[in-house]
Amino acid sequence: MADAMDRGLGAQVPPTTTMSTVITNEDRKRGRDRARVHRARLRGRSPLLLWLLIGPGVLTIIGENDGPSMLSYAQTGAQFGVGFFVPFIAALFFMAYIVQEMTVRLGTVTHRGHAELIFERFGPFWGYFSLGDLALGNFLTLVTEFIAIRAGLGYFGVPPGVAVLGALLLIVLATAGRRYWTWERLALGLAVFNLLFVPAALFARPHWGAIGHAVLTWGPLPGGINNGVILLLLSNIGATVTPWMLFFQQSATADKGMTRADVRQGRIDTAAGAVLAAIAAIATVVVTAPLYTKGINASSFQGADFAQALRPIIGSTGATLFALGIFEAGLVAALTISTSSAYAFGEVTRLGGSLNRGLREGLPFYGMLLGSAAGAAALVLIPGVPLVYVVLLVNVIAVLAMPPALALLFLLVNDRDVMGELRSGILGNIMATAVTLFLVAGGVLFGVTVIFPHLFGT
Amino acid sequence: MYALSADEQDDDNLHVLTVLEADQLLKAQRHHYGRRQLSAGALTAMWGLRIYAILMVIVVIYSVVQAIHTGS
Repeated sequence: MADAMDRGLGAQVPPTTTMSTVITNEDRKRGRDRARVHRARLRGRSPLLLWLLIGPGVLTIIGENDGPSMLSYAQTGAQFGVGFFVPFIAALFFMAYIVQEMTVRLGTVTHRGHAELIFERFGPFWGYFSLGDLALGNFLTLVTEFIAIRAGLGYFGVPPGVAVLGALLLIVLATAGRRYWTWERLALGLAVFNLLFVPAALFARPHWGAIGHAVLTWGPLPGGINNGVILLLLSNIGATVTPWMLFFQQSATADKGMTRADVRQGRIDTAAGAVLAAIAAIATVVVTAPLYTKGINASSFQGADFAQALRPIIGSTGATLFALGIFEAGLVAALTISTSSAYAFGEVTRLGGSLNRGLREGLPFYGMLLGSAAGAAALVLIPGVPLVYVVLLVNVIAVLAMPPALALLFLLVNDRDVMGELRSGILGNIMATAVTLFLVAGGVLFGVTVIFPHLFGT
Repeated sequence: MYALSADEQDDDNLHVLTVLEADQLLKAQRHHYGRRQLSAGALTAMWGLRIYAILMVIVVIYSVVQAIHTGS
């Protein structure tokens, strides 16, 4: 009744459904979540409404602040200090919002996942290509997340096996409730710890004047523009939005049961994710900036190396927060990325999938989710596996996969038959086109420089 | 374990039917969007993307072989 009232239809059951429609347990679970949303909306309780609807956007964009990303920001701070990259990173997260907002509208209007919609509107070639490239890219990314988990907890002397298996156990426990709401709240609780880099940055006693100067002037950039800086810029641009983000946010939005009435809260959720992730990323640059000012060469540093190098500078508490932040970054990304693979698999194979699904009906979904996480975890623990190739390959696949992913997203969000009145307007299309072209150009250029480095003298 | 009576189940189902939209129900007949009819320009772009996708796969395989060859 409340949902019908939202749509101005009055108190009536939608005519396409009748009491003979089979109501599944998945429907009941989603219905319970939606009932709370309707009650909050009817009673005008806006803060509660936002609390109930926040989730997919925050998890997606903070999930992109994964282990390798945080290490990349740490490298940036250690090599260039506080300067150009502070406003640059903020601008990249604004672009991420522009892209991710489109998935909010798609998910709320169609109630379908991204892979399912691609399959339906563009056919099996794009459906299977999207699934294949997402599954491969996600699996390799999961390996890098478990590397970060291992590195983060390794700072505390936790053995690799314990760290990796502990993280895997957390992923299993998160899905064990077989409720989207439970999984989401657990993941959000972990995602908040991405902000650990903020108190860590405070321990670095940042020069606030330098941060303000950087924001206003986009400078300084030590050494000016050179091949190394261009590579770093391209790498950061290419990593702003990766395919799993598009698939995860739309599928999670649909799994959460969000509707057109929730688009505003979905946008706020996405914006909140972008702001929080930008703050954490900039804080990471600030926390490692002392390595630059002290002339410490951090170019070969991995996760735990940063924490070790920072300890005499920012103290053991600051270094501890940094290491915990790296662990959290890997863990939240492992949760979201493995789930995005499972969503896409269920959608393309028509086996379906939802975090609200029971174990028996959801076996393919949970099998893909936990199987991909377990496989990546195993790879990290097997001695002699050339993980350096994985790290190299995941960046290349992620940036090269973006052009078709963004093109299909753009076509879908402008599809009148699908979106109706929520299709993109002129201003939205101008911004989306500019951002898409920028991200695609940066990403493809980066991919080319990695594959053919001799062409660019690198 | 408490089991819902038939009346309580009907009430529960009605509640679900009123808080969820038709397309959100798992077993309800879903609206199928079908294949999108693309303009000539969009069709050309899609074929260009198909070629890009195939080239991308070749490039990725090349970078893997190159990385292994460099490492060995």
